[in-house]
Amino acid sequence: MRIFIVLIVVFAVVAALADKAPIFSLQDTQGNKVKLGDVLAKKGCVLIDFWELSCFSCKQALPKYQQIYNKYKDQGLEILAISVDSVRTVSNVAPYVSGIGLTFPVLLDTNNDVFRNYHVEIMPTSFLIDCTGEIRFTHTGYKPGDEKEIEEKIVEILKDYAGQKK
Amino acid sequence: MNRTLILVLVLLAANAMALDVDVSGSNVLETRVEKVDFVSNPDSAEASVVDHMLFDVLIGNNFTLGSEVDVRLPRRSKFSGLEEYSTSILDQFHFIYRDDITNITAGHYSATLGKGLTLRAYRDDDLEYDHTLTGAYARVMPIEQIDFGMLAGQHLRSDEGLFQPDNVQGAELTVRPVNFIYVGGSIGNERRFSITNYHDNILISGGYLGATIWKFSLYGEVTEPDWTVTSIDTTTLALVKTHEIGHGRYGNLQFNYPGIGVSLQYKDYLKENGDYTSPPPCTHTGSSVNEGADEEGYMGEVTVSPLAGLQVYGGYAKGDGQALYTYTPLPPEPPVTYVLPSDLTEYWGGTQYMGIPDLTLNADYVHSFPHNTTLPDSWVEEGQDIPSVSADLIISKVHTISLSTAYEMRHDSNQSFNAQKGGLELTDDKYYYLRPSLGYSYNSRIYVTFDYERTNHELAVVAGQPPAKTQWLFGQARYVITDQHSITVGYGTRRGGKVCSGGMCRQEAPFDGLKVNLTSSF
Repeated sequence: MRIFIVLIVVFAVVAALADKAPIFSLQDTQGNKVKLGDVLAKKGCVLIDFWELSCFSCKQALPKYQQIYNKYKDQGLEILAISVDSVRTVSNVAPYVSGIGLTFPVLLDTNNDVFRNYHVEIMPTSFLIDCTGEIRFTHTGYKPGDEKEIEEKIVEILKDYAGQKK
Repeated sequence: MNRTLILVLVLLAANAMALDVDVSGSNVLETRVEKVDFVSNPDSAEASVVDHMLFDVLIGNNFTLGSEVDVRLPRRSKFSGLEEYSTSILDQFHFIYRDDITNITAGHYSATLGKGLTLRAYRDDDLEYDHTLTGAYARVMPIEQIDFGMLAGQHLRSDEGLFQPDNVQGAELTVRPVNFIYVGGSIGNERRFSITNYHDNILISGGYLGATIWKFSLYGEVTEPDWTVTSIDTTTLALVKTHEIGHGRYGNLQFNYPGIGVSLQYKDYLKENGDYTSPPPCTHTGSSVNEGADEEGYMGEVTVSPLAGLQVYGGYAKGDGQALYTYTPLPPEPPVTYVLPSDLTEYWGGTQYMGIPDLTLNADYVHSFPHNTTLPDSWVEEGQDIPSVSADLIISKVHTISLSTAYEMRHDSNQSFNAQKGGLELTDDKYYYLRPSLGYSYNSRIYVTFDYERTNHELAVVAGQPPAKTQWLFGQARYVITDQHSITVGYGTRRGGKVCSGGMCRQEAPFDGLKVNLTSSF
C-alpha cells in the first residue's frame, strides 16, 4: 500500500513538469528515414497520430487528417501518421495509405518503440507539437467531429508560429 | 523495490544537479467491482484496484531511464480469507543511450530481425503474450547506407523455477548500396529448456532483398531454421538429440499509386515456429493456418478511392498447412505417424463513404474459415462471416450521434471419435451474435456509448453453475477532464473479445459489474 501511495505521489509531482515530445527516427512507407528533430526545424506544427490497420476508429480519422493537411500544409503543418502494425501486417500499410490517397508521411513503428516512448494507452491517440518540441495538445480516441477540435488547436499553434516568425 | 528507489533517486539527483531532465509517462488507474460466478455463491462480487504506470526520464539529450510499473492492491479472497495476490511492481526497466549514429538499450526491450522470420521478441498486451528480452540491444548506423544491430538477452518464462530462462542472441546487417535497393542478412539463436536441465537450440539465418522502382515495391526474404531438439525415448528412457532443417520464404509485391494500393504476399514456412519467431501470416484477420510450423499460402488485397470521399477495399487469402501426429501404441506395435492437413480461406471487403460533409457511412464484410484435422478422420471447422454497417452523423459542431451494428454468423463443425458410441460423430452448430451499438459525443469531451449483444448460441447448462448468458448490455461514459486526464465509468455485462466503442479499440475480457478508469498522461 505504501509503495502504491509513493508512486502516485511521484506521478502527481512529475505530472506538473513540461511535456517535451520524445525525439525519434523512423522509416516511412517509401523507405525514407524521417527524424522528428528535422521536421520540427522546418515546420510550425506537427500532428503525430498513432494508428493501426485493425483499428476502425483510426482508419476513420486518417481521411479527415488528409483534409486538414491539404488546408494547412502550406502554413507550416506536418502530419506524421505512425503505424504501429507489427511485421505480421506492416506489408499492408503502404498499399492501404496510397489506396485511400494519403499524401502526408506514414511512418512504420513495427517494434512499437516510439509508441511506448509516447506512452499511448488508447488507440488512436494524436499529439500536436509546436516548433519548440512541446506537446501542446493530446487527443485520445476518435469519433467523427473530433477533427474540428484538433483543427482549432492547429490554427492556434500555427498563429503562434506565424507570430514568432515575424 | 530497489530499482524503483534508484529511479526515484536518479530523478531527484538530476533535478538537484540542475541537469536538463524531462519526465514523461502515463498512468492508468482502474477500480472494478465485478460479479464472480462461484458455484457456491453465484451472486458474490469482488473489488480490485490495478494501477499501471509507464515513465521515462530523459537526462540531457541522449540518456533515457525508464520503467513500467504495475501495482495491484492485495485482494483478500471472500472465501478463504487469504491474500489472493500480493502487491507487484516494476515489471520492466530500461536504460537507453541514443544519438544520431548509435542506439543502445540495456534492460527490457523488443526486437525484430527481418520480417520476424529470423527473430521476433515482442509483447502483445491484448493477447497477454510476453516474449520480450532482458539484456542488451545495440544498433549502429555509421553512415546512412549501413544499419547494424546486435542483441543478447534472456526471457524468464512464466514457469520459472521449473525451467531456466531462455537465452536469445541475434545480429542483423542492412546495406543500401543505391537509394532504391537494400540487402540484408540476419542470424538469430534461441536456446530454450525443454526438459529440466536439457535444452533445444534453434539457429535461424537468412537474407533479404528490398527494392522500390517507380510505384512498385518488392521484398523477398529466405531463411534456414536449424533445430536441435532434445527428447526422451519412451522405451529406453534415454535422451535423444535430433537435428532438423526447415525453411522460410516470404515475398511481397506492392503497387502504391495515389488512389490505388495493391498488395500481394506469398509465404512458405517449415519449422519457422520457434518461440522467438513470428513470420507474417498473410491473412486479413492475422490468423495463421499453422503458426509457421509447416504452411504455405498467399494473399492479395486492393484498396481504391474511385471518387473523392469514397474508399473501397477487398482481398482474398488462402493458406494450407500440415502437422505431424505420432501415435505410440503398446509394444510391440510400432509408432504410427499421421500427416494432418489444415487450411484457411479468408475473403473480405469494405467501403467508407464521406461524401456528405457531416455523414460517414461504413460497411464491412469478413469471411474467415479455418479447417483443421485434429486426428485421422477427425476435424474441426470454426468459420465466421461478419457483415457490419455503421453510420456517424455530426448533428452540429458539438453533437455527434453514432449507430452501428454487426451480425456475426458462426459455423462450428466438429467430427470426432465418440468412445461411448464407438464411432465417428459429427456436430454441426450454426449460430449468430448481433451487436448493435449507439453512441453520442459532446464537444469531443463527453462520450456515451451503449453496446448490446445477443446470441442464439445456447450452451449446455453445467450442474451447479448459472446458465451461460445469451444477452449482454454495457453502458459507458467517458469524460475528458483535460488533454492529459480522462475518466471512464462503465456498467453492465460484456461478452469480451475485441471491442471498438466510443472511438477506441481494445481487447476486453468478459465482464459483469462496474468499473471506473482514470487515464492520465504527462
